[in-house]
Amino acid sequence: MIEIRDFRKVYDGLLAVDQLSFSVKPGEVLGLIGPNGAGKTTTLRSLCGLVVPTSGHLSVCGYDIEKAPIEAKKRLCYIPDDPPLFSDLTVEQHLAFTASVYNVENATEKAAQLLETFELASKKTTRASDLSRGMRQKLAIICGYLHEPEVILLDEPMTGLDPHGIRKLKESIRIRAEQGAAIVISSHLLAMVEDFCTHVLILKSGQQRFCGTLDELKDSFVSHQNSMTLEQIFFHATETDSPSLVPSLTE
Amino acid sequence: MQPFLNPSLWELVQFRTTGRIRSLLSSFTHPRRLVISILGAVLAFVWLGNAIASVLFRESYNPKSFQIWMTAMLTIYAGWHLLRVSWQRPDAAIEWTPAEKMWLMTSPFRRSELLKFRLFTVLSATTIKAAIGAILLLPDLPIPWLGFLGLWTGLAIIELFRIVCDLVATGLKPDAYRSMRAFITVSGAALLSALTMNALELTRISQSTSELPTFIILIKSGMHVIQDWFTTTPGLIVSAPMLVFVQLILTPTLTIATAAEVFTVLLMVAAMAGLVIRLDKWNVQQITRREKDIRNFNELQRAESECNDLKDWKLPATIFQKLGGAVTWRQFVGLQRHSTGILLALIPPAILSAIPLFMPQISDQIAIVNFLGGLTFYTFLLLPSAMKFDFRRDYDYLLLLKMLPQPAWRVVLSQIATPVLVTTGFQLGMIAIAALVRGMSPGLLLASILSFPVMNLAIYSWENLIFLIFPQRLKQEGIEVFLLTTVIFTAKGLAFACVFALMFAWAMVSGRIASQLADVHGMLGNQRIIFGVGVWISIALSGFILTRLAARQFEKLDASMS
Repeated sequence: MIEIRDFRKVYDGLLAVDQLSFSVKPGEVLGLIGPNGAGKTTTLRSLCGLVVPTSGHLSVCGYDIEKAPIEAKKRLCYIPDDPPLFSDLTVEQHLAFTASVYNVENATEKAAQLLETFELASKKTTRASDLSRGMRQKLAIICGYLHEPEVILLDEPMTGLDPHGIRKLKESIRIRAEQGAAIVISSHLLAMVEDFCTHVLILKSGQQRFCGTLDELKDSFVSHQNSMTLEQIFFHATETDSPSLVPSLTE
Repeated sequence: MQPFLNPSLWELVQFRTTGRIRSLLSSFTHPRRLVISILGAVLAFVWLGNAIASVLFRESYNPKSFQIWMTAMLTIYAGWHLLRVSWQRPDAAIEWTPAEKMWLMTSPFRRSELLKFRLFTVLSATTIKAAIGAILLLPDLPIPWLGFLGLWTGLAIIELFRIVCDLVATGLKPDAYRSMRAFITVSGAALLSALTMNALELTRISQSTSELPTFIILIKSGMHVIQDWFTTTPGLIVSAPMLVFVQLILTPTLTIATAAEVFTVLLMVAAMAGLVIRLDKWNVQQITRREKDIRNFNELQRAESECNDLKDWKLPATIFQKLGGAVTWRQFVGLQRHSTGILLALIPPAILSAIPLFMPQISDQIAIVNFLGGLTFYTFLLLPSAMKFDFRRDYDYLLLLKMLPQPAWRVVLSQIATPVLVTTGFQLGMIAIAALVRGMSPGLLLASILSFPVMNLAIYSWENLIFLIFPQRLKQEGIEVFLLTTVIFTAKGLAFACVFALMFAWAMVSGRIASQLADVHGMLGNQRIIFGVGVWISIALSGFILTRLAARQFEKLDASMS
């Protein structure tokens, strides 16, 4: 579903991501974790076609994002942290535009259901500029879900959401994963990653420190210390200078 | 037939247009904005109405001269874009808002569809420009709708040419860009020097036969030289593409040839749009190729996650600690980042105010007085809009500034310190040049050195006071901003007129005071000293009052509204 091989990105002489390789299959939820500036957002933006990769191969549902961007983009949605919206458009106009772009069938019913789920039904005619931070986030999520994407890319999705919103989003992620979507979530909320991500990818300074299931990650640390939490593992992985945390897994 | 715009993008255009109209109407619900909008509308009507009426009832220009000037203006406008990209390499060839980036770039649109969308928005703005231009040129347009079409296509070509320049400049390799910059800069400088020399020579010749002031003769000579150059072979070659549009603007009768002309100009716009789409593809390829050409990745700097050690960190210079602390330093850093633009902004007031210094036919005293008057006028007129390194670029940081543990007056002074100091530095530099070229009496030199800093304090306090009363984001657009700008423009004009009238009145009064004091106190009876001291005290007092008012407004400001 998502396939990244030897992905590298350079910005003005700065190596943002170096030789990253991983894949996410249908139904899997990959937690992308790492300190600020580790390359998480660059990876997500390259996957959705916002950033052109310097080298490597990135594909979504078998379509190369560089060679067949239209086919790849039809199947994915990307929700950044603090999503920018069209300030003059209302909530329902954002949905109408999204429905038009993706040719969504029964868009009105689907939109109404999503608005109800994320408690935005009363804000249908409100302009985006009048929405709060959390509401903007919810609107971006609703628009992202509207065309039922097979690949969902979420960059810090919980930022700005209230506890209700966080619960709804978690539920929606679980449901969509069960329905076969491949999901990548970049987050600093390690407890949340531990809670519902099936796989974890740890990045540091653009380099992959670990990629595998949560159990594999924890198992690899049993030999070092007994039963470490993801938080302890994260700090261990990002505070050591060894190129790879668990060579046997990443190689 | 395939529509020009993707239907979804067309829907977006419609949504945005209705949204903007709705937000404009909703802005009228706030009482203060309503008052400003009505006042602005009345003033805009008076200003524009007056301008349009005077234009409509004027006599038409000489067609031959009009054709040359129209062609020249369009060519100069296009040439400006070449100079701009060679002066400063643009960050991105085509500008997208953050919302457009997120919603459009991640959606399944072809790049060409997105480019058409961008071109559509750019050319929509051109339609408004062309409509205003056509109204102003109405007496010279034999067939108004054809004139509008010619103007629209001409301006559209220039807009597309601007994008082409940006695409080429960002797509070229660094070495190739440097070569292009050198070529354009040298050619431009050579042409400008030749035209200036000719204008000065013509001024010298005309002076003996004309009674007009030298400055006016110089302007007339400059225009004459430009007009002449566009009739020479190089001028005709350079301006040839623009001639097609101007000919359409001036077409007197509708014939089959006119239809061919219309077809030609539309074809030219379409071809230019096609070139933009092709160049964009080339541009993306070039940038990606440059990244892909990097062979040794190990030599690149890696993204670091750790914070740098800040224990030895402090403000870079003692002057900032004494002056306004971190607030002033922050504005100074912003100014440094835009130093190229600032240098460009300083060139027009420097040239315009220095012109009298280099006119040998006028006496030193008159040259210096003209120079100082020009320096004051052009500083007041041009620099405040270029030096927005104060509250005016901090719309999004007002809350942060309000939270600083400093009294309001100190924040205001710290905020305006950078533009005041840079403007003062510029003026003192110009005064030094004037003193070297023409010589200045010690009294006048001292008066100038003392007056300009306080005048700058008053000017920037005034600009910031207006901003704090009506805060708005930098580069914000829309009718509401246009109306506010009209009100501010009028207020500035009135303020300038009042200052001028007060100075005139004070000159009369100081004369009387001087004559009364002369008999009793000798030196104190010097009118110039009384006048100068009075003016200085008035400016300093204005600066002080305006700074206090700005501080009070800053205290009252509800920053959460921004």
